[in-house]
Parts: sequence; structure tokens; C-alpha cells
Amino acid sequence: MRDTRYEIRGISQSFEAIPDLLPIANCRVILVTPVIIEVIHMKNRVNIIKYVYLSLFALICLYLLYFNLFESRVISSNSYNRRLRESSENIIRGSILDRKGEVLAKSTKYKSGVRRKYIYPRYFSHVIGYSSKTYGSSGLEAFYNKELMNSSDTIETLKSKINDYFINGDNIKLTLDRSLQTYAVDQLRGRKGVVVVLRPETGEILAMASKPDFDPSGIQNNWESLIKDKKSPLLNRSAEGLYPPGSIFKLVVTSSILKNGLQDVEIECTGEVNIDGYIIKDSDGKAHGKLALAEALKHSCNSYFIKQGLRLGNNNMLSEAARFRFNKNIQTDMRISTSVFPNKINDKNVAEQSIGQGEILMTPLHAALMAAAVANKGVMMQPYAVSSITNGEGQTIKEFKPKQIGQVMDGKTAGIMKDMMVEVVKSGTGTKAKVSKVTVAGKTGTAEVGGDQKSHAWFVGFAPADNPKVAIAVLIENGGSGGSTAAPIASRVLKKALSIK
Amino acid sequence: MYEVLSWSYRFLYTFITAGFTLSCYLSYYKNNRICRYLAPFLNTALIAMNFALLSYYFEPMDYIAIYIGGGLAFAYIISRLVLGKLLKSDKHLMFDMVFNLLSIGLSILYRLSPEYGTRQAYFSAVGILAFFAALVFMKRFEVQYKHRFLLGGAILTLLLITQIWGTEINGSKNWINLYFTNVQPSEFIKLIFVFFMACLLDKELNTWRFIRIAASMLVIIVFFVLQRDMGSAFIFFTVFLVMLFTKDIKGYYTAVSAGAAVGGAFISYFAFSYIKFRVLAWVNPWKYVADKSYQITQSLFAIATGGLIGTGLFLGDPKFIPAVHTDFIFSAICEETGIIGGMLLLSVYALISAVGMEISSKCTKPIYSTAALGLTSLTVIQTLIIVCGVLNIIPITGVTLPFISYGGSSLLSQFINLGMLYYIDRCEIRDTKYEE
Repeated sequence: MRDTRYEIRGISQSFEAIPDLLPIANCRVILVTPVIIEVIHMKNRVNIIKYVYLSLFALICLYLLYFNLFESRVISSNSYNRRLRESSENIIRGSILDRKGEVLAKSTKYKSGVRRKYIYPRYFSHVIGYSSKTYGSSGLEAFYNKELMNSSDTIETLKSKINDYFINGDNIKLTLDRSLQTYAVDQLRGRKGVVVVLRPETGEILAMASKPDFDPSGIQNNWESLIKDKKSPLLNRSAEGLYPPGSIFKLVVTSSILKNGLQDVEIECTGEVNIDGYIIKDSDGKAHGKLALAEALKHSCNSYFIKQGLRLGNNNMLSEAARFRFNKNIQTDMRISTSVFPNKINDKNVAEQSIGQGEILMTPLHAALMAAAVANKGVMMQPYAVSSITNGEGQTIKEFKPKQIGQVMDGKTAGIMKDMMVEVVKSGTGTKAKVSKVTVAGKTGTAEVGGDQKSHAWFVGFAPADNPKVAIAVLIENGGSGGSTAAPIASRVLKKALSIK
Repeated sequence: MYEVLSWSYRFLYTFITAGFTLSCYLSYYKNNRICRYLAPFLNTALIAMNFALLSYYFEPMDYIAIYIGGGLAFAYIISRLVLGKLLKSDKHLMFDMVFNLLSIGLSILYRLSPEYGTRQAYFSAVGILAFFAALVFMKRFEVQYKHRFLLGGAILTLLLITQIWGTEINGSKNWINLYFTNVQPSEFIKLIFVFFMACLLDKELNTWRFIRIAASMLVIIVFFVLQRDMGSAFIFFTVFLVMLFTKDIKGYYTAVSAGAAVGGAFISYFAFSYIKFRVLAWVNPWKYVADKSYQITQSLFAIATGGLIGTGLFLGDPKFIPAVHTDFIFSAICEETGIIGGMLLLSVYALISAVGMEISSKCTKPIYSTAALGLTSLTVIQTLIIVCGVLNIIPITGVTLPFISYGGSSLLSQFINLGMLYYIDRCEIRDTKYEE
């Protein structure tokens, strides 16, 4: 007679003591009246609710785990996290090494306390960042604060804590190369701008220069003037600066044109396009005549890309931009802004956006990734600046492996685009990016900023074209034309970058 | 030296709480006898060690922490024995779990501020007494359909009293100043409300009846909106929806009510600036990190800092979070006892919800069955709202974490809630005996 379905474990013993007490089970057998049916119905609903509650709790637990594994690092590196400022007296912060093992930052114990020294202060100001007791920390100092402040050796830590010894934090090893970084920063001397160099196959960042910079060891004394400075020296322009991409965005449009099979469509360029009374000119109003995709990219012909952009329409461009990670987070080990491609439907905006103007914004690091994706057969890799964490004895505790962001375009499309980009440097707008004995592929950009200000100069590219080893993005704020300002810097940095291992 | 102890204690703490949670689950789902006795043992050990560690932190030794810990352990053992005598049963899973929450809550509160911890200890003592009082009271007074006007009248009176004589604390006018202490009537209205709704839902639903129920619900919500107590409005309405859902065969009425709630939420977003601010702070906390979302971002920092097993008691900085001892205590627990500590806490709440639901589905008296559902939902929904709030899954609403957050009214109401659930769980036994 006993229907175990309704046996409640919590009090089953009481049931055994009084076996007649079988609430629903008996009723169901003996009486089948509407009332009982309703009661049974209610039990089912209660069960539904119970499982809803239980699954909600389980979901929150999963979210907590996810939060801890994937989000906590970015969140705790925020400069508003006051915990970054509190530091125990008994800790010697770990060192930061370059890819060859050269020390870039280290802490030393003095009688007066522990002091942190930056060996190349201004060269790595944004990448490494600062670590201050009063003003918190930034850059990798903040992102890897936990590792730098703690030793992975539990027993050693316990011993030191009991005996009040100093604890040595773990060291972090960068993917950046010291010589390339200093060279790249020197190329920017006297300018506001960015140079990002990375390995297309792995996403390792080899150099990341951003000007204006600051001296991380002097942060304590210069804080007030640094945060008031109109040039915002504390901003890591390479990952957090958002700029209009200008013509380098034509790479995204080119990819979309190729995917839609429109590369052979010839368009007559008259030097300007008129969209409902809104006129967009080619650079210097020069007419290029009749041309197809390869020629148009080579000369960075605005008329061609505007007309093709209008043909593709907003939806095609938006989805292509999304594939290139516009409007999406890029996972990396530093704070990075999200590049923006706004969803616009009217022709004027679509026309502007197809030449990288309008409200499109892009970070230089993202621009370098875009070039790297073409170099890497269409696969975009996750950029990263820290290759491993090592302990005091130099043993590796954790190694960071290259990760894919995704396939941006198929290998064939990437191949065609590469050939076109080689043409740009060979005989197009980017001839000043040439490097002797090496084939360079690239694209220039001259992004109008509005007002009377000079345009931002861009160059993105990679080399050697047949077997890409390095990808680069150069941005000079208000530098004028990309071909004349950014391309020469790219040429010199690429040459230097190809010499390192 | 303290640092070393606390630092090492993290492992022990995680181990013991995990053991406790596991034995609760085993004794519930597998009816494991050993685990049933292991749970209270582990619980007592946890109380003892937590407070021993806390007292050691202070220089010189803090005896108050020892007294609180000892008192708590003593109260736990005594009330468990009394409960066994009273109800003739040795299964007190729910009681064990509640004491586990209470002990974690008290130790973290004492760590945050000895003053609050001590006051909460007094509240707990009153709460335990209230628990037994509720048991006795429920035995004397059987809720029937005819009591609906009485219950409804009580709710209305309390709401009116709050509206007229209420004082404003932290932006919500939902407190009453009784010379020696401040009381939050909404905490007690909750309990009456559950029985009130259980009565109304006792008879078969039809459109006319639904309109009357909805109207009384509306009146209550309007009062809460006037008192700017959105947390309570949210809890009441969700509990109402859950209770309605079990009685509403076709589901139309529940759908209509839920639709009305969504509409109301939209209207209040545009009508009340403070709600708008909270939603904005929720959507993009990092944009307003310095002002509107200061609290929530500080909470996220705390949780992110904790890692898997936390920093150790007294070794984190949970005090950076404003209102950490009430709304944001979950973040403090996550920082100092880790994500695992937080997850174990949530598992305990989950099991409480499962046990409460079983009580409801086992009970044969429709009013009490619905009431048990409502009482459990009160605890569960409140937990879900605040935990999701501090994790920024939903906009933050200022409600307490049951049995853990600081707050006398809230703790008292939770204990009465528990007492009522215990009564409903056992009332069957008494009734049949009576019939025999």
C-alpha cells in the first residue's frame, strides 16, 4: 500500500512508527475525487518550484567558479581596487623579466623598507605599469599583483610567516623583447603615438610602445601633475586608446568583398562620391579611373570602397566587423578597450564607415591583430604579454600557451589579401614601409579627426610576406598621412623586429 | 603569529564546512545515520574553532568572542535536546543547517565589528526563544480560511503604522523607532502575508477571486513603493507568484500577474530616479565605479580577491565595501573564506529549500502546505536576490542574507519562520494521533 514516491526521507522513521500516516499515497488509491487530483497537481507544482530553486543555486555556484577563473583577474586589476594599495611590509615583490630573461623591474630590501626599481622606467611605463602604496597599481603590476605578491611555495611561505622572514613573490616573464621595445619607443620620440609588434602565429606581444609615457618610479611625487596632464600620459594608448581607423579598415571591407565574390567588379573613380548631397573626396581629390579591388586597395581609393560598401550594405559590414572582433571583448592579460563598429543604416553613414571614418573606433593592438590574422592564414590569435610565471629559483610554475580567438577568414581569402597588401607596399601608398631584402605586406591609413587637427597616421602590416614572423601596427596621433609618417617608422621597427628570436 | 594561524586555518575551515555540508546532504538523500550525528558534531567544532581564532586575534585575548562562541555552542546543544524532547524525533537537519549559517554569520560579523557581532549574538538568543514560541503558538492557533480578514487586517494595520510613524533609515521609510531599538515591520508582515495568501488561495481560483487577491496584493505593493522599500516589494511579489503558481492549474493568472510585475518594473524604472540609478550601475558598473556603482564594484573586488579558499579570517579587507555587515556580507564571506566557502554556503541554502519544499508537498492540509511553500520561498528568494545582487547578476536590492546578515528584526523573523516550518512539518503527526 505504501507509495514510496511520497515518502519523505527526513522523517521516514516517524512514518514507520505510525504506518497509517501515508498522506497522499493512500488517498490516491482510495479516493479519486477532484479535490485529491488538485492536491496531487499542487505537489507537482511544488516539485517544479523546488527544482527551479535548486538549479538557480547551482547556476550561481557555477557563475562563482566562472567568475573566479575568468573574470577575477581583470576586475581586481582595476585601479579603484584599494586592495592593490595595501601591501604587507614583509613581502619582496617578484621581478619582471623580458623574453630573454633580462630583469626589467625588481624589488630590493633596504633598511628603510622594500623599494621597487624599474630598470628601463620610461620604456615600459604602460606595459609594466606602476605599483605604489598610495596610488595602487596599473598594467601588469596590477594584473599579476597576486602572483607578484605571493609565493607559490606554500611551505616556504608558512615558514617565513612563522619566523617573520621576508617572502619572495613569484616572478613573471614577458613575451616582450627589451631591445625591440626600447628601439620602438625611441622611434616615437617627440610624438604622440603607438607601436605594437606581435607574432602572428602565437599572439605573443614583442613590443608595445605608447607615447607620451611616464616614469613609474617617480609616480609618488608626480601623481598630481600626471593625472592633470592633458596629454594623458597614464593611458596605455596601445590597448586602451580608441582611434578612428581610417583606411586600414578597408582590410575588413576587402575581406567582405572577397567573401561576397565582388572583387572583379570594376568601378569608375572620379575623385569624389556624392551621397544625397554629402560629398566624400579621395585624397587630394585625385581620380583613379576604372579599377577593381586589387588596384583600389593599392591606391586606397575611397570612391571604390564607398561604392562597394554601399553595395555590401550595413548588414554585411557589421557581420564582417564582428568577425574581426569589433564590438566584442578580446581576452588578453591587460586592460583593453573594445573596438566599436556602430550599427548605422543610412547611406551616408554606411559610406563613411566603409572607409573607416564615421564613428568606428579601434585600438592599435586590435589593428595589429587584424594584420596578424591576415598573416596567420585567417586565424586571429589571442594577444598576450606574459609567457610564464617562475619562482625564485627560476623554475616555471605556470606557462601561458597561445590561444586562438577564431578564424576570421578562410586561408584562401587571407592569401589573396596578403598579395594585395604586398602590392600596397611594393608600389602603392605604403612604399616607405619597405625593408631591404624582405617583402613587406601592409596597409596605410590616414584617419581624419575633424576640426582643424591633422589626421592620425596609421600603418598595419607584417613581414616577411611569404612566411610572416612579425605583425605591426603603428599609429601617430595627428601625424598626417599614414604613408609618409607611419610607414617609415614601421619599416625601421620591422627590420629590427626580424632580427630578434 | 595570528596571521599564520588564520592563514592555515583556511584549509581546516574549508574542510570542516565541506564535511558538514556533505554530511547534511548524505543524511538527507541517503538517510545516512553516521552523517546525521556527524553534522552537529562538525557544526559545534566549527563554532568552537571560529571563535577561538577570533578571540586570539585581539591583544590581549578577547573573552567576549569566547563567551559568544561558548554561548552559541551551548544554545545549539540545548535547543537541539529540547527540540528532541518536544517533537519526539532525532532529525533536525534544518536546525543544524540554520545553526551552521548562524555561526558563520556571527563569526564574520564579529570579525567585521565586535560591536555588531555582540548585538547580533543577543538577537540570536532572542531568535532561538522566538523559534520555540512560534512552535507553541502555532500549536494553539490553527489558521483557517475564516481568518483571512484577521490576517489581512493585521497586515494593513502594520503597513499603516509604518507609513504614519515610520522613520527613514538608508533611504527607506520602513523602520519604527521603539525607544530602545528600531524595528522593521516588513520583516514580520512577511510571515503574516504568507498565511494570508495561503488562506486566500485555499478556495478554488476563479476570475473574481483572483481579482480580489490581486487587489490586496496591489495595496501591499503600493505601500512598499511609498516607503521606498523595493527589496520587500520584490520579495513579496515573487513569493506571491510562486504561491499562486501552485494553485493556478492553467497558469493564466500567474502569467497575468508576472506580466503586470514586468510592466510595473518598467514604470518604476522611469518613475523613480533611484531605481534608474541602480539599473544603470548594474548594466555598466565600471563606468560609474567612483560613485553610483562604488558599492557593487567594491563587492566584486572583494570576491575576486578571495580566490578559491579565501584570504583567511581578518586577513582580507572586506571593510572597504560600504554596508558590508548587512547587504554585502556574502562578499565578505567570499573574500575571507573563498569561493568555496561561498559555494558551500549556497549549498546549505539549497538544501534548506529542498527540505522546506518537502515539508510543503508532504503536508495534507492545503493551507499549511501552501504556507510552508511560502515560508520556504521567503528565505530562498531573499537569498537569491541578495546573492545575485552582490555578484551583479541582477541590480542590487537591499535585503538581508537570511540568518547571516546583521539585523535584529530580520533574524527574529527568520527564526519565527523556521519555527512555523517546524510546526507544519510535525503537525500531521499530532493530528492523527488525536484522531486515533
